[in-house]
Amino acid sequence: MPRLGLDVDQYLRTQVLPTVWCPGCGNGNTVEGLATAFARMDVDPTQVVVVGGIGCSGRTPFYVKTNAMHTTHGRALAYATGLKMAQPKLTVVVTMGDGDALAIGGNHFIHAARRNIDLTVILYNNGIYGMTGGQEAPTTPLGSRTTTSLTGSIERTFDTVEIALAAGATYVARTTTFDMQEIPLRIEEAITHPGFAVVEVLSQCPTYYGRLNQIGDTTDMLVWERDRTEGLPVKMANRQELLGELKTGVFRNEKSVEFTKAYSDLCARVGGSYGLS
Amino acid sequence: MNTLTIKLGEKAPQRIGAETVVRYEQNGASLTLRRKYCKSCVLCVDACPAKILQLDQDDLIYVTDISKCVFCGACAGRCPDFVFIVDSGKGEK
Repeated sequence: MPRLGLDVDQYLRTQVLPTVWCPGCGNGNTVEGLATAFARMDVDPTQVVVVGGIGCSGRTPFYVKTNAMHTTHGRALAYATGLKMAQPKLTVVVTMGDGDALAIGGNHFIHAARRNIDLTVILYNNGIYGMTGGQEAPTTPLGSRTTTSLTGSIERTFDTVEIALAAGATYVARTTTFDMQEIPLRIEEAITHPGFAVVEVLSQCPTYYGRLNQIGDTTDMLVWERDRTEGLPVKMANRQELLGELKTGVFRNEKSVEFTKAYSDLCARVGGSYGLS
Repeated sequence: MNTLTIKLGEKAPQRIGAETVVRYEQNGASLTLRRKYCKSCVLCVDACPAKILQLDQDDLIYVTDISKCVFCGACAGRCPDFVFIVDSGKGEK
C-alpha cells in the first residue's frame, strides 16, 4: 500500500503542492507511485533525473524532488537519450503522456526502444489531449467522444504495449490507476531493469474524457477503467466473455545488449574513453 | 503549517481551518490530513471502507468519526493529491 509507513515526502516538492491537475486526475496517483518506488528503492535523489515532456504529464518533474528536465513536446526521449549517453551512471526516468510519446514523439519512442538504451518511460495514458482542451489522441478508444470527434472517434486506437514490443523494448508493462498498489511495483521493476523499460499507466481524465463520454464522477471513471482492463495471466475458464478491451501486467522482461554498455565497449575497443569513471 | 494533534478519545473542533494539518493518533497508529492539498474529488470518500470521510462546508475532506478508522490506507492510496499520510503503526512497507 502506498504511503503506509513509507516516507515518500522526501521525494516530493511539497512546497509546490497542490498539483495543477484537475480534481480526480489520475496523474497524481502515478507521481505518488513514482515517489513510492523511489522510497522503496531508497534511491539517492542526486543520482536520478526525471525528464518530462509537454502536457499534463510534463508537470511531473516539478513535483518529484530529484534532478529534473522539462523539455519540448514529444522530444523528452531525445533529451533523455543525450543525457544518458553523457552520464551513463545516472538513473533517467522519462514521464510522457500518450500524445507526447505516441503522436508527436512517436519516432523517438520507437527508436529509443530499438536501441535498448537504459531509460525508464512512464507513459500516462488518459486517451485524450487533456491540457489543450480534450482533442482526439491516437490512444482515444474507438467510438469515444472528444472535442474534435463529437459524434464518436472513427480512428483505430494505438496500442502502446504492442508498439513497444514490436520496437524492441526489453521491459513492457501496463497498469492502471485503479490498481494503485501495482504502480510502484511496476515502476520499481522498470527502474532496476537494465535496458529500455516502458510502464504504461492507464489513467483517468474526468474533466474531458469522463465528461464528454458521460462516464460519471471520478470513482465511476475508476470503475470504467477496471472494467475495460483484464489482468495477466487470465485464469478464467470462459475467457472470451470475461476479457476486457486491454490486458494489464508485465508483457516482456528480458535482457539484451544495452546501448550505453555497447558504446562503452566500442570506445574500449578503439582505444577511447567513455563516461566519468 | 500548524499541526493539530487529536489523540484517542479527544473530540475534533467544530471547524478546522483549511491550512491546518490534522493528525489523529490512536494506539501507535496515525492518520494525517493535509487539507490544503484537497481538491474535493471525493475519491477517498468512496474508497473508505469505514465511510468516515466527508466534505465539510469549505469543500475540504474531514473525518466524521475517527474511532471507526482501521488505518488501512485506502484513502492514502486512492488520493491523487497527497492529502493523507497513514501509519498503521505496524511498519509495513
